Amino acid sequence: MTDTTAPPSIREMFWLDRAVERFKFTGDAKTYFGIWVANVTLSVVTLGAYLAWAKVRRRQYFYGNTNIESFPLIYHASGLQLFKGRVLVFLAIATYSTTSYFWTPGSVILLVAFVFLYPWLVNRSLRFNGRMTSWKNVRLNWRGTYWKSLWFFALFPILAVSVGLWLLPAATKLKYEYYARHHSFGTLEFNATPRYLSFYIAFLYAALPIAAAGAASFVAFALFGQSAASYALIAAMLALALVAALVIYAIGCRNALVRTLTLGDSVRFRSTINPLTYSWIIISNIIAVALSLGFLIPWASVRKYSYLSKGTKVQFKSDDLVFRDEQTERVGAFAQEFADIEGFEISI
Amino acid sequence: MGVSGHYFLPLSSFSQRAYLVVDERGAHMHLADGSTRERLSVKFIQEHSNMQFDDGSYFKADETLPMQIIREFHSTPRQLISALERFSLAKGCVWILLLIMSFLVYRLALNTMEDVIVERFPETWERSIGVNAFETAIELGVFSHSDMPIKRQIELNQVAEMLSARAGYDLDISLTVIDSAVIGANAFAFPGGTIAVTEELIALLDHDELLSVIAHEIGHIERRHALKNAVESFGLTMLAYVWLGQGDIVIQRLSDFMVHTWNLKNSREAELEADRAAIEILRASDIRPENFISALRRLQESACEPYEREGLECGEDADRADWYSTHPSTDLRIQVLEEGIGKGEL
Repeated sequence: MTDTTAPPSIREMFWLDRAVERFKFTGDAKTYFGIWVANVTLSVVTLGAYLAWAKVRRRQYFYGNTNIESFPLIYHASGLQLFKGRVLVFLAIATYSTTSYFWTPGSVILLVAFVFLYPWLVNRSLRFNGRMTSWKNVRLNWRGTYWKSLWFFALFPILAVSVGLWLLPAATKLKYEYYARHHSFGTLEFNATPRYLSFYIAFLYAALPIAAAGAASFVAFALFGQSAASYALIAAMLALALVAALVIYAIGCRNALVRTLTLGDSVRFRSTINPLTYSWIIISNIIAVALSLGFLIPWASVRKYSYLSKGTKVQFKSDDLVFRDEQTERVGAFAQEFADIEGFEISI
Repeated sequence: MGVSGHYFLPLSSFSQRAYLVVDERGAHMHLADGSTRERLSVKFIQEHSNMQFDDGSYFKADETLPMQIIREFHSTPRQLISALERFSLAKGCVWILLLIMSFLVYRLALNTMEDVIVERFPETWERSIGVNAFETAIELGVFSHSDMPIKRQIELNQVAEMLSARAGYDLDISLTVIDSAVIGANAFAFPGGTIAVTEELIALLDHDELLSVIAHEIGHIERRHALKNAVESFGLTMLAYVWLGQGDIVIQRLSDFMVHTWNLKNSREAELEADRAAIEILRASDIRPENFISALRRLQESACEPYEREGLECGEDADRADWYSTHPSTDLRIQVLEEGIGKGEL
């Protein structure tokens, strides 16, 4: 019997008739200012206890105003969940700090234990973050393993930097790929096939602000000599250049990943974030927040998030896609709160 | 009360049009296929148009849910918080003023608590911390025990104890001579009473100048600067995290930088306070306070020597960024001491 199914047309193969949707962010600085002021005030009054609920409220606001096909993201965690996690984190940090003050060998033991715990913490944190995020009632999930997380998030990046910065883009590419491929949306897995070249190009672009600041330093020395003015100018230029370099590298790598990101064979993603524009947003946000003593944080947050949303796009293969979720075990918030407080939250 | 929207069954993105009705019996969903789901238990409402239910189903309303429905399922604290969040210019101004006032109150409370904590912190614990820090520095090779004859070290230790006792301090001073080519001429005070003095410092200064530096370190110990700085740093870090550090890693790093800069300011103030304490201690032992100024000048010359040998401007005090330093410039310290001694204030 011959197969009479017609092969897909070029338009079908490349989804040329499918609309490309932006992640639409509908929040505004004025509304978020009210939430931010309430969060900060209640956190101060409760000596920080309200921070867990403040984090939930903040995420619910940003997620709830991020729409894809008119449906928002939903954040499922509760303040109480995060609070319990924070209490445990606080106890862990207090134990480590107290031990390091009174008995240094003990703190070394705890530090070594932390190194072995790190991949477990990262996995639990990513899984918690994933399971607490849903779109159209289907949640994200993280399926990374202990040894892979140890390798891609810790060992290989450290090895890459210690051998020479030239290996860093390769390590970043592998880390991002691992991050993408071990996330799933319901029962469908994400996939990404970024190229090494894209990450090396991002690295080269990131080196430009540093080179420019270095050159400008020579000019500053020539004009002002070794004086307080020249040192201050050079320090400021280097700080700005470093921020710009980190941002340009991060966005370049993000674009490289997202442009090849797919969900099963049903969804494709795109990223059109301009590294220079985003660097400007970050640097001007820092200046605005510093000059306003923090009162412009809501405006800065909305501005940044709005730009990221506008630059992230999604394309669905058809209009009647149905995604299925899976039952998973409940995940505690300890790892996520530890990652949040200690600043090692993994994200792209 | 009712509102239309999309209803999603648990574990699925498949949705159908539905009409949510809330009455005295609870929330009920009338679906487009004609079925009804009764008495749904609401888990939470997000952004006033998304309802998540305990059974895993989800309802997205076409428009904002009526306030009566939201009030039905929001607890009283949640309703109060929602009322606080609703922005108006007048409320915004009042909140900002209240926020600034609460931070000032928090800052005052922190200062008071700092004194209480330092007052009540057991001295034995403080000593353990100091001894541990000293021994760790030895183990890490930052410095090592000196080969100086034990008799001489004991003499120096006794002199340090005498300085402290004559000033009326009830401290358990323990002075050790250390060897460190990396550190050069220097002295350190560890919490609880341990003082470390380098061989290079002993070689550089004369007897009374050395005593004046030891007096400065005793000043740090008596004023418990290390403990005060640790408590203030912790409090400020918490305050900065609450104010600035939520949700944005870049702003969080800015906040860390600002706290660090504030800690450096406190460190410089502590140095000036220890300088004043040194003068008091020296006077109590009938040692001329000018010896301390002389010691500072010698240390400054010693630090500048390597630069001058290369024909470079000295990096120790030449127009550097004082705001980012743990110590005030030596010139400033000498100026403050000379003015204080001259006016009879020290």
